[in-house]
Amino acid sequence: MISVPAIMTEPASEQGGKGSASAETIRPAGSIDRAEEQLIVRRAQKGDLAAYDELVRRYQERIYATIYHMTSNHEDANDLAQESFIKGYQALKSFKGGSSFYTWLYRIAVNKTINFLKQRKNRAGMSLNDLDFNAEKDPDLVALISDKTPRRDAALGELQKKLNEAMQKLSEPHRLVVTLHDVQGLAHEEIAEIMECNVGTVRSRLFYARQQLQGYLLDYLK
Amino acid sequence: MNAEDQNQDFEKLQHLLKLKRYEKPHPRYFNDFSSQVVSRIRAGRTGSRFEAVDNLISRTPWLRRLWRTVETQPALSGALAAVACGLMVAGVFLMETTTPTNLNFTAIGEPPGAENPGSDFATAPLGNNFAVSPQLVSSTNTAAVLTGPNLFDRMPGLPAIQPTPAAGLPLRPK
Repeated sequence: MISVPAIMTEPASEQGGKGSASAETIRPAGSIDRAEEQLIVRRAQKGDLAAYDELVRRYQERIYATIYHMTSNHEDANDLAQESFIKGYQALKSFKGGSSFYTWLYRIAVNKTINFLKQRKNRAGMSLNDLDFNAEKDPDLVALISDKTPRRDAALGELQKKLNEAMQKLSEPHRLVVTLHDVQGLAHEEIAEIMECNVGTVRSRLFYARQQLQGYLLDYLK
Repeated sequence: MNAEDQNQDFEKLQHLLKLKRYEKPHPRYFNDFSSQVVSRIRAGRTGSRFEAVDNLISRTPWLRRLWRTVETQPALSGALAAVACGLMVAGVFLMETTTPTNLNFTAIGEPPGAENPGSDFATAPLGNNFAVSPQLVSSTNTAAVLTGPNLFDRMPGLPAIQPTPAAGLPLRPK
């Protein structure tokens, strides 16, 4: 049986240094990468911290981004991302390879983030990252701020703020599906695996979340 | 709103959601992220002495923001360090200049029994030797400024300290 590789997002630069300018691109996960990753995971399971360091470098941006989009707070995202990787290392021996390491790690990060958000009764204010300068060149975004509507005068920064405020109004599961699918480009099947639910649930949550967001951001979508 | 309008809005919504992909931490953020994770794992293995500090920083939002600002702006962290050093030096300097070096002690009244230097020590308790002087009563300065020779020189009846005889016999007053 041929397994169809999941469509995953990949940041423009793995290192996250200067030049990681454009939005996350989408590429299929290759089988070669998977085999190589399995070797690295096995080494890390034996206590090889250099191997785990390699795994962290591979997924740090994606894990951080997911958590950041869920929390809209850079400081919280930083802490939770680090703690997720630490917990991942501690739980490495329990990873049997039934799912991809990526999915397994995502699950840890997502559960940790949702637990954190549920416990955080008094919400900390948003602490938003700056927008990459390439956002101003994105034709879709330019179209949103250049049409003859109230959003015409809204700078991208204002749009960013409103968008994050709207996201924060969603419940955690709904915010998560929007983050994983619409922001990070994961497939429904992959999201279902991460969230440990079926694909139908993912689709219905996504639809509901989009409806909610549409209501909150009506002025900016006309 | 019909289905077509809804799909169009979803399309526009998805375009708007693309904005989130452009939200990035500062460019150097991921340069040492993995090494921080590995350090924390190693510290967890050996029982970090700094775990309490890490926990304090992670649970205090303003401290976390301050730490992050210092981490990402080397010039600022250098300036803060210079200020801290300057404050320390200033503090040491101030301490040295305010430490009193010439304190003279005056007798507080004439000790009774001064005309009788041979009086028994037991009948000249210490308390009587310290009558209140008019100068001190009128003074609002709570710190008693004493001038003069050593207090013990003016206290009658106190035996001079003599070396203990080799046999270990107790001291006797003069």
